[in-house]
Amino acid sequence: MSIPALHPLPRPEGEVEQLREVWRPPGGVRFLTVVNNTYIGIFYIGTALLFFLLAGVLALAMRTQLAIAENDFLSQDAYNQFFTMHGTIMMFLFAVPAVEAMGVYLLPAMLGARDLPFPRLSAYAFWAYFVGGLLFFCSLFFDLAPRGGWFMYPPLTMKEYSPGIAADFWLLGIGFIEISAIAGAVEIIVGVLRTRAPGMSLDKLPIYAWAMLVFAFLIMLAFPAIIVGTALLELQRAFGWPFFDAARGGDPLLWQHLFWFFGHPEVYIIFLPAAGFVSMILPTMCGVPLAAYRLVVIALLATGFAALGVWVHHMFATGIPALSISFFSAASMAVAVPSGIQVFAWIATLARGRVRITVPTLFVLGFLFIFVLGGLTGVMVGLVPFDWQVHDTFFVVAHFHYVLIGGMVFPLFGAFYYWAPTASLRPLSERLGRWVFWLLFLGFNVAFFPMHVTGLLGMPRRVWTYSADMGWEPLNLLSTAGAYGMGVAVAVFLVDLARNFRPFHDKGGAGDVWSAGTLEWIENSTYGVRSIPVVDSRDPLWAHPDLADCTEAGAYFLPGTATGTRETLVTSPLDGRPEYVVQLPGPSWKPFVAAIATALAFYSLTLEMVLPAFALGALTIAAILAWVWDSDRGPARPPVDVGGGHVVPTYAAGRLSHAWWGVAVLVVVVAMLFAALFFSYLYLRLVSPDVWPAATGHALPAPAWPIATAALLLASGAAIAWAGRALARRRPGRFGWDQPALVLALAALVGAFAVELVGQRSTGLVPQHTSYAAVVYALIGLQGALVFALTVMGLYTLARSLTGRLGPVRRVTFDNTRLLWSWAVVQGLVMTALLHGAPRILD
Amino acid sequence: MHSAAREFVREMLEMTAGPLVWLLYLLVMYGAAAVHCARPAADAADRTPLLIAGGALGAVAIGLLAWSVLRARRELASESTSDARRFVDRVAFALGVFGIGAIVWTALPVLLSPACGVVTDAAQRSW
Ligand code: HEM
Ligand SMILES: [Cu+2]
Repeated sequence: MSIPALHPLPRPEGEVEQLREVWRPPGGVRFLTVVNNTYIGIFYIGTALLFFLLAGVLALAMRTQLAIAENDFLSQDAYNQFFTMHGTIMMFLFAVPAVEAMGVYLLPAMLGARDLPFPRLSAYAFWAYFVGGLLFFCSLFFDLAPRGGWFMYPPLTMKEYSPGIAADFWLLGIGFIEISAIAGAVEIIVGVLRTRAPGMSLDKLPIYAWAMLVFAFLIMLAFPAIIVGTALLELQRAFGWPFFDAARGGDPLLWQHLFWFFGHPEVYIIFLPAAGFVSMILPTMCGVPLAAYRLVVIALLATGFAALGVWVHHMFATGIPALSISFFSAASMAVAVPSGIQVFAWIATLARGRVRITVPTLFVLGFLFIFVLGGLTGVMVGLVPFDWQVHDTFFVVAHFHYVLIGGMVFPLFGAFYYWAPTASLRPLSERLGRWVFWLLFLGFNVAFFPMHVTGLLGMPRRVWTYSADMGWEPLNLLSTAGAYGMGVAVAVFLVDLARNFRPFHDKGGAGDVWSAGTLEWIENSTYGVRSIPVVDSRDPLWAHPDLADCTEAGAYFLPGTATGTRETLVTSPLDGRPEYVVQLPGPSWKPFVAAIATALAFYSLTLEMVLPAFALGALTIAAILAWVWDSDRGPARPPVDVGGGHVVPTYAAGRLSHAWWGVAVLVVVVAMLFAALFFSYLYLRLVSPDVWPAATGHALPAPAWPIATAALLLASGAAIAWAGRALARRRPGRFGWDQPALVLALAALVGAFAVELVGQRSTGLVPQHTSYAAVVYALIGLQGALVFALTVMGLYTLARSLTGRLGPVRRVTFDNTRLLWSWAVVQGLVMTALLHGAPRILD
Repeated sequence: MHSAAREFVREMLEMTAGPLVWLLYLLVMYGAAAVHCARPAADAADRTPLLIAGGALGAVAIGLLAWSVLRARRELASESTSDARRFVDRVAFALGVFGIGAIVWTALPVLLSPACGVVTDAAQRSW
């Protein structure tokens, strides 16, 4: 049975040519300006792979050093830099970007969209990551790489114990990379919720899209904590604000809280997308739909929440009260339930179908095997007496490589082999693929299984060498041999890529070589699918064998370009009803320039070149403003018929607009930044009441100050609301009250910030003196950053208004600014209540 | 203004109420325990305030979830809704039940474990 065509076929001549023309990537050097996901996605995956290779080379160097006792291949100092860089690059520059990149590449095709909702943002995020990451890696060549381990615990990373700028490279570099991860999460959330094919309601969403949705939510909620953590540590290192310095009321444990609030979800951020790969590959290879789809969705959601609630289990040995520990142990055990559900769904799928043993299947089976073993050793390190034995030994190194390589690298390689035919004219080689798999699988076990034993024999991690009479030598040699085996596996993979991977072809890829059921297997070009199909099942290509051909023939939505530009269909989040056609931006140098300027600005700061950093910051802002200037284009034309009698507008503002949803995600990110600082305030108050005003006798600003701040904030909120109403009434070419209202709102907002700052300073509060003062100024600083951003956005909105680019209909720019504005008012009020209320009420 | 966005957010909150309420409960109890244990040792030894707070909050949380689970069941019983809505209600139901179980499970320590002593032999995941 097939889904009836929405318009008469065949489609008129020239329609598909026009579509192709509109989406054609620029040639020559301007190829660097491409923005659409089929290109950016591949660049992104390639770069993540590059960092995997670089960190892998570091791992081989470490293994070479450890192969024999008292080796002098690497000095102690070099070894410290190597394990720090290896761990950091693998976690931050390989694992997270690799799974995010796969999402950027795969999701639009899988959802039936032409592109992600904010193509230039993807381009920006990619280039920032590419340049920022490479510069970070280069710190190794100048002996400037950090040495503090991948979680950079203070006090070791405080200026006193890590002088120089190596640690700053880590703090600014990684803090910056997180920003690009967050940009990707915005794309993924809005993309999955708003750009699905009509009919693809939440119950028909491919399971991978669910996994990526949970992934993106975790990034949105957890990454702000590490950004705040790195910012605080950097403030301490650069300016002496004592957040982590016990002598002045700080606490190194604050870092651990902020780090692990991010660090535990990080494990799931890496693992959930990988589980998503497995849940797509297995059904195809077994020829049956995924077993227990709904239970798997439930498990994904439960895991996502649970991941946010168990960070303290990384800090059990730090003197936390027994009661709190019991909470978190209990919660950590509860996480086992949803993970178990996932595994059973895979086993049930395997049991229901006839399995084809292809290269992707091999990687999935390898994953299951290794992951179960990693889980077992996880249970072992979870046992209290056992953990005491193996704490900080190679047993732990073995355990987490089983989890990370088994849980993420194997599914990722499976995914490469599985989805390569969607991107490349030729699939990857099944023959070479088998070599890659067996070499990787055997090499991995030979390398890491013996480490359990060396760990039990007492070999500590993070030491550059050991003495021969410890008896560790044979096992270490074995591990090193295994590591080289893995190196060979990766080399064979590169040969396979070089011989067979042919991306960026007009015709898309080799097509549906596995007889899979989901939309990404319909012929896919730069513009995505020819027409956007109607979906009425979870495996549309299995339900309707001719769906691919009909889609190709242009039978369904938007068979050509309706607005004459790049576009895609925006649908409703719950049930996927067509809502409007969004015009998408095309290639541009602006996001490219903005990204490179941002990266260079951060590194100038690291090198303490303040003026260049400011200049580059200004360039970044200018480039970003130039890039968005032509994005809020207003309705291109009256509502268009996208097929099947659906006549939808070509523009939307307010909450209907996908851009509003993007800003809403951003608001949550800002709110989490604020929450992390709010938590820091309460935490420091709890551990160091003796530096709070009641104990030191430091006077608080008189009540008039906070009252003035609050009044100004409320005035600002009222004025921006007034501007919104005035804009709705404005007639073209006439004076509107929205402009003065906006100016008023801006003045009040800046005023509120200034009053708060001056009020605190008037009492002689100096951030370097106590952790109390430091955290007060940190909160004000965050508000200041937000006010700065809104000043730029407010003036930009005003400029658009003055040049006639803002009106009662064409008002996305205003609505977005206003959304963030409302949050700034709320955040300011909460902050004022905290800073002036807490010291008065608590003491 | 368009209210579909608000409607969708409401549906998603209902769908994930189980783990959401559990997470909030955990965080609040963690904060309460930390504050309680920061008091002078003599006061901290008495667990009664924590028991009362944990019990009362737990009851409220479980009550909320029970209501949400029943609501989902009622919706499921009515035939008129779309596939997507039924799916959301089913997930809400299962996650609500899961949330209630998880709250009881994580609240047990308040009853069973010593209040504020520092444990020196606890396992720590040291990645
Ligand atoms: C490709 C094969 C790999 C090999 C041979 C390898 C080897 C090593 C070695 C020798 C260490 C240092 C042990 C020590 O002295 O403490 C290490 C640490 C580490 N590795 Fe790997 N690794 C590999 C892949 C990975 C992957 C794929 C990830 C993550 C996705 C990863 C994450 C880490 C982390 C987080 C550390 C800890 C760094 C620290 O102590 O700060 N590794 N690895
Ligand atoms: Cu953890």
